[in-house]
Amino acid sequence: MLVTSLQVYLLLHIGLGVLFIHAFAGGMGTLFKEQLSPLGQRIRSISVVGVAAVAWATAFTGTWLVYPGYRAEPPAGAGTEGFPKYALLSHHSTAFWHEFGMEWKEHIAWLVPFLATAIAYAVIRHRRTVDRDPRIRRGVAALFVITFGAAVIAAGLGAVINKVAPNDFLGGIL
Amino acid sequence: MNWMHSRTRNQSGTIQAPTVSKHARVHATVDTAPDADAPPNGGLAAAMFACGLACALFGVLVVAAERSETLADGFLAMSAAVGPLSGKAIVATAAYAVVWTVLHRRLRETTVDLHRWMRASLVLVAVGLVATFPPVFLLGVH
Repeated sequence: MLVTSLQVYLLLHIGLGVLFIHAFAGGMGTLFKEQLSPLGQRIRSISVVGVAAVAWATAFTGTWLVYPGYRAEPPAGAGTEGFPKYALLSHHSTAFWHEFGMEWKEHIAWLVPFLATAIAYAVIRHRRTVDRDPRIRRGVAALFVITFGAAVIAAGLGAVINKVAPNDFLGGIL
Repeated sequence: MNWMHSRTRNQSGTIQAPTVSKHARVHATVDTAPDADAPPNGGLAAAMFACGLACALFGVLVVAAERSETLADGFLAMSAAVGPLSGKAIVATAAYAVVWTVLHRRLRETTVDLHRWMRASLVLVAVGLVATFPPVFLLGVH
């Protein structure tokens, strides 16, 4: 069975999301600790850099590779099947998932790479300051939690929208 | 403040707690200003503030795009396939890079009140989070 480019893009996007969650775990486990072993420092550094890199990759693939397939307009006279945005909007019961779900997802997701990059920079380049100032460490950790929360909202809404919308381009894959 | 980190080993090899003079303790309780021995932290302030500004700007663009079709379908629609989201992402990312670069160059060798910069950054991030919530940016829009 042939795999279309849209299927590849979506699977790549979903895979990056899964990677993001795993990278986050290491950072969360080490950012709240006052004393870190050399191994802990390394885990924290790899985690925050991983989160930042994956956040950019996820936002990029989501916006420029997957989103065009979602919002594509059906040709005149054609049905909305295979055109998720228009399929959602065509029924009152599902319109919510575009007007609230997708609108929130596509926007909050873009805050994630901004936040993740600043956190990675803080942890890598200003490790001493983060380590010895509890207020700054808590601030960075809070931003890290916000980053994760935003990513979870975006990922969760994406999963629900993929379930509700008749994404025919996923046929045979999911 | 090296006394905060200094540890000494006794003859048996065990680590002793740092000895702190009475003067140092008093100094530590009243000194909340940036530590003279601390490395410059302006670079960290620059990164955090630029991040906050990018989040807030993205939020402002989301609100503005809902209120102006000219903006949404014109300037912000930098990619026909992606629509206004492309412009919001590109403009906010570019602003992030520019603001961070400029602030970094100005602050990297300085020691600033990091808590104040952090608070300002968190407020800007909050603006971005609130402004990207649909009930907020769709408020009053049909």
